[in-house]
Amino acid sequence: MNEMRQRWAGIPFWQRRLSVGSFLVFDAFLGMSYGAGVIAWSGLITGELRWLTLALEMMAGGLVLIHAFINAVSRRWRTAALISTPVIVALSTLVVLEFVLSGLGRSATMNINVASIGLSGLYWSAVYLSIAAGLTLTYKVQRFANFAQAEMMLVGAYVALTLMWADRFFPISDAPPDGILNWELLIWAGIFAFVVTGLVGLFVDRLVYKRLRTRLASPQVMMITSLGIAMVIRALLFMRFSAGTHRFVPDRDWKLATSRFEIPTERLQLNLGDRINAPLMELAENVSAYNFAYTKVALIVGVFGSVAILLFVLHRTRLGRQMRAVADNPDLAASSGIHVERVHGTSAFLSAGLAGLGGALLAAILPINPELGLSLLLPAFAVVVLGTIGSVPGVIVGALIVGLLRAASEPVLIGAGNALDRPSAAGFAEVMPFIFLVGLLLLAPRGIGDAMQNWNIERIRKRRLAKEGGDRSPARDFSSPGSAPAQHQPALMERITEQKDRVFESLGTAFSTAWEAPSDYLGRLSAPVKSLRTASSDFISGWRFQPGKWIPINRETERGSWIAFAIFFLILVGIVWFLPSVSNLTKTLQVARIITLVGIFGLMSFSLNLHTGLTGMTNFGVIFFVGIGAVTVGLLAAPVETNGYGWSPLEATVVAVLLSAAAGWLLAYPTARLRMDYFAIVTVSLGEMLRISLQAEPLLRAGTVTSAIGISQYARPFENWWESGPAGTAGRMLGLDGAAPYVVLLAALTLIAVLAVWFLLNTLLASPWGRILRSIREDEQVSQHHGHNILTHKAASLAVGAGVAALAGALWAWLNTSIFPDFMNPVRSTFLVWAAFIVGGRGNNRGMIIGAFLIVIVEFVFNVMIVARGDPDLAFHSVTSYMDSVFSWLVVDLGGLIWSARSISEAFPKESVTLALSHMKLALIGVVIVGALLLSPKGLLPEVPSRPNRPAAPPADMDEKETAESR
Amino acid sequence: MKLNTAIFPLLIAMAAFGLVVACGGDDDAPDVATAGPAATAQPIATEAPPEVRTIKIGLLSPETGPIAQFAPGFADAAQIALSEINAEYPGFRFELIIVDTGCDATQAATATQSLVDAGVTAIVGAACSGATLAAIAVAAPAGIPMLSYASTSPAITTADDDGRLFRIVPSDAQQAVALTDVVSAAGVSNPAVLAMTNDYGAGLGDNFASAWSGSLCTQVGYDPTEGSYDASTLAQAVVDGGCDSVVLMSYSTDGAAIVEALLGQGFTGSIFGGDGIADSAFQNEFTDVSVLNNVIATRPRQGEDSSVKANFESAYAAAGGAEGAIYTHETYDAIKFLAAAIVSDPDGDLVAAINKTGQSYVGASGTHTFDSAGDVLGTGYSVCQFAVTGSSVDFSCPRIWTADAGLSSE
Repeated sequence: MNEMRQRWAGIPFWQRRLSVGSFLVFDAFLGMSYGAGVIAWSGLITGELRWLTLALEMMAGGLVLIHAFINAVSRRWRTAALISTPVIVALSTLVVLEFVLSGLGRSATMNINVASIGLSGLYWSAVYLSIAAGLTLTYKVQRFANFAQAEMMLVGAYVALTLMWADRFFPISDAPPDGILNWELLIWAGIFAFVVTGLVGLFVDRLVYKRLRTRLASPQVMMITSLGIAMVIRALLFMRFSAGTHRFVPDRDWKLATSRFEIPTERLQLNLGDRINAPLMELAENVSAYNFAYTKVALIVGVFGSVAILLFVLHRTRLGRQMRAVADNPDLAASSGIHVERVHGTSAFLSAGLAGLGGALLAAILPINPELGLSLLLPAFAVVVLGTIGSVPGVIVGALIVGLLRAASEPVLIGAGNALDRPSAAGFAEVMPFIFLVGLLLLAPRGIGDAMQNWNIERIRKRRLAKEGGDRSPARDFSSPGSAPAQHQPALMERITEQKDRVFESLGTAFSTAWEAPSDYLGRLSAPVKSLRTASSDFISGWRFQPGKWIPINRETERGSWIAFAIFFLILVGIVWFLPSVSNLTKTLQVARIITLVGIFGLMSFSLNLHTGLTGMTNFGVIFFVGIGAVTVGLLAAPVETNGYGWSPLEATVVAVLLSAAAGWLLAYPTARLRMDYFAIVTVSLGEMLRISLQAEPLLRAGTVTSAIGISQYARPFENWWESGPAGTAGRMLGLDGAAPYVVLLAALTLIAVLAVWFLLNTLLASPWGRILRSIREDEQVSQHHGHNILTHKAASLAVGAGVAALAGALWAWLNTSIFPDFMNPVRSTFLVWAAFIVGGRGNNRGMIIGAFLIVIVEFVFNVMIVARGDPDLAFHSVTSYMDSVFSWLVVDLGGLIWSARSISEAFPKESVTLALSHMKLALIGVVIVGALLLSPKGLLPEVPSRPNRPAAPPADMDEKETAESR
Repeated sequence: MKLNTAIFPLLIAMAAFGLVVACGGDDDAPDVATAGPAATAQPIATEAPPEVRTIKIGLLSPETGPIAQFAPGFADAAQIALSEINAEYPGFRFELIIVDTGCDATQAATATQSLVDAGVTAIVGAACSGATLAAIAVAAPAGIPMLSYASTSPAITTADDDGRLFRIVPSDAQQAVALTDVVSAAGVSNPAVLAMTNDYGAGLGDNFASAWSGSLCTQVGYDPTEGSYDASTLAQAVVDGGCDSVVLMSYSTDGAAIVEALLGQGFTGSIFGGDGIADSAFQNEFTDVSVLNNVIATRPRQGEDSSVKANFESAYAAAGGAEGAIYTHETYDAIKFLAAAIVSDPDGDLVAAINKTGQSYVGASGTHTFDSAGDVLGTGYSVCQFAVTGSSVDFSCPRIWTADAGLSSE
């Protein structure tokens, strides 16, 4: 055995890879075509699941082979090979499909319409690019992932709508069709959306991010702050424009079914699988032209044009040089006389403005409501990562690839879905960017932009070399030295480049001069604001409220941390105590629910804390592991007659935890070499893929005889036992009239689970292993140097955290009694857990409990306010009517100065203008997150640095020690 | 780092807020608490005359989240029902409490808990099936019945609800059969199915596919959230597949986008649809109404007395109700029905009263009779169509479909 292993290790790496890949492909081929191979012989997996496994096996084998191929090609061709991977992967997917379909004896027809795919791809590229361009700029200059970018797009869309409703423009929009396109409103809407959204971005930057920058907040804190800001902006849009959809009509002629370009096209028909007398592919005859709406052309031209201008600004103007300098090294930039804050402001303005422009143009195509941006944000992140974070040319390429890929995948998914009885498979088109990205990152861990950059560097180096070489042999580095064009090429290229540089330079100067004026104006405009702010901050600091002066607790000592934890915990428990409820029974239900929810979110935060706070791996896919837990528990414990497996819930839980842990362990290996940002996008992608699978994959449905979407009807632990006896006893103990509801038992189970996991984690983290994890977080190289196998430790950390998350998922599934795809929506799971993690204080498990408690309780507290509106008996009722009148004054009297009466009546068709309290609640939760981070960027309970006990404290620490002890 | 960074103001503010809220609740919390759970329907008499009883009804509405755009319609319909029941039953004062579910199970259950804490007698909701199932897990132990106005998932039928969960919207299995009859009666042979990938759309689409006996051109799922699908691509799939007709399982906004895109790609076949587009208001979704000509759609049929429906629709229009709304008739019916059930036996068991009142109850969305699982069977479907002449749109429902008789003219 050992000998074999050594011999195996002796074989060159690429040969090993080649043999593994070939084996997987061959084995899967045997399984599909002849019902043989490892999977068939083992007899473990049957039915549809077997085909799924075989397809995955063959795909995995194919990827291994491709990887081996990429690594085997010579350096010169590697970039080309990398860039062509999308095509190779797509082809291998088709091959796998072909085998699956012929194995099953089915046939699929795929209609590849060239113009449809190309233009639809361009449309998606433009949509993603309008968000991604700003994202990447923020990444580059301000170095954080701005979650509010999608909301900036929405702001632009609503600016366009407001403009349309203005008295000046409404006649243009409302005029009957006359056959002539009117550009006036569209152009003004674009300009206004750019400027207004840009100013909103600038305002947010000044108000929030600037403070965080001066406090040297970490990118993660900035990111969660932007999440809070996104909530506030979305809530404000909800409040002002209502949740209904609105259409932006630049002129009715734009929106007619006849307002379109007719693009001649070709249609390629692919016949996969069991073809009867049909060729593999054929060119269809008599294909009617593809019709492309004018509004989409406007979007594509507008977005790509503005990003091209951005690129020009970045690379050819002084402003761009300053931005790049700040991006590279802010301190050095500041010392060489660059006004860093102004550069940050400009960057914020441009990022938001671009998204706003895109939003205005998108509003002419899609109906707009305040939820629009969310479904675009995550794919935009994929685009940014694909184009190598922070690179604007990369993001253009990324957007094009993702857009085209998405459009091209649709006919394939439709064809295959119909053949395989999975009509919802087309839904996977939405996660195509993620699937592609994950695949690509495994093949090329540094993104495509990096490959392009290398290629560019190589090109420039060659040009230099050729130049130095002079007349001796101008083409010595070119691949075909003998051919005549190659000899003339350098000189010609040189001249063109020179000319191009000159033109760009003059344009750049022109742009810089043009920028001076508005920039100066803005500076002058902000001067009084600045003085006002200084005055107000002087005023505030005059009587600054500093309770810390009265009770000095050092939260970064073990003891202080516990004391702070106790204080926070008691305050939160006090709030729970005072939450109103009508009867003993309802109060019991309420408290049990709060305990269970805090436990679930606490466990998820523990998991995140282990991955991100301690090991330093930015995990944005908490919900992926939670989802594995919940789905496994649900599926396995659902009755057999409703497509479940009929296991007992406890067995199912054990399997779920182990499965999730195994997934975490396996995830470590392919992702270990990835940069942290890439790791984040891979985990978020996995979550989204699982969510769409829940929608589209029939194997992940249970609880009904018709296999409807969702998992329900699963057994919960001890439910029968509880109802047969202990429920009555517990009911008497709690002073209820009848038996205690099941949720009381669930609360008890959750409490036990949380305490057990907390104890386990604390024990683990106090052990040497905890120190190793922290050392990996601080500096991987040093840790490696000390002889630790980083990969194993990371994998172990991922596995333990994933298991904890799966436990939370099981509890969550029992609490909700059903699992629907929406439960995996990152906005309501991952983002909230991240908020709990950052607000609570990363690196500190006590903080996780406080953060989770805060996130849960905020919802309850603000619900009380909402409930009060409908009931005049509650004291709070008068406050809501007062808020209504203030809101009405803001919208009608104050806002009326800016927008027209029509824009008010469109959003509030009824006579009175009322404040939607649910949306107010969303804003307040956002404010709580932003406020907590502004006040305490390290979190409420910062990590306690582990310091070994010293024999005697140095005199400098005496003060602190004394105060700590006097408490 | 000291604790001087003013987290205290934040927490103190929150604590103060909690206290304010608690004081507000204190007004009625103690005196009701002593009376036990049955006291939720007890009068809280202050200055009102002693015979007037206050009844609180909760409405779970998806005010944020993927179907937030339909929430204003639900609220508008509910307010109309509220003002009507307050006028209709003088001995009662009904109050409506609307809370947000976010179309999310966890948030819906928390919102339900807040309703329960406020002492509601009954709950109307929720819209999303996952939200409804999580909400009943809170409401059922508290002894409060729930009546959903829009959850079509079959999982609702089998939910563990102690008989407290009802729904006033019929299951989609029957409508799929109605649609197949309508489509085959139109003489088309090769329809494409475009269905949303949520429980409503996928359920209806799958049921249609299994009920349809002929060949199915293609079946495509899409996520109806704006920005998640490209209507032109869907239309192109239909055109490239050579389909002679399209059956849409959509809401109204996305349905309109797809109809527009179909015509934009030169599709000339027939277009059929379900509830989402079977409304006269569907034409408001279009800039160019001419594309609507000959679109056929089915929806649950009203009972013999359709004046209820006409009255509701005129009241909805007069109140400036939200456009492009769905399930407004069901929302209106749910509240009026619950009020009727509560009034019929104010001190008795509400679940029994609901089952008793729910026999051939004539509402705006149809004539409803609850079965033992709390589902309504419906009284067949109306088959409606749009006819466009110039810029005027004529919307009429000349035919009906019933489970026994199939298609017939009204």
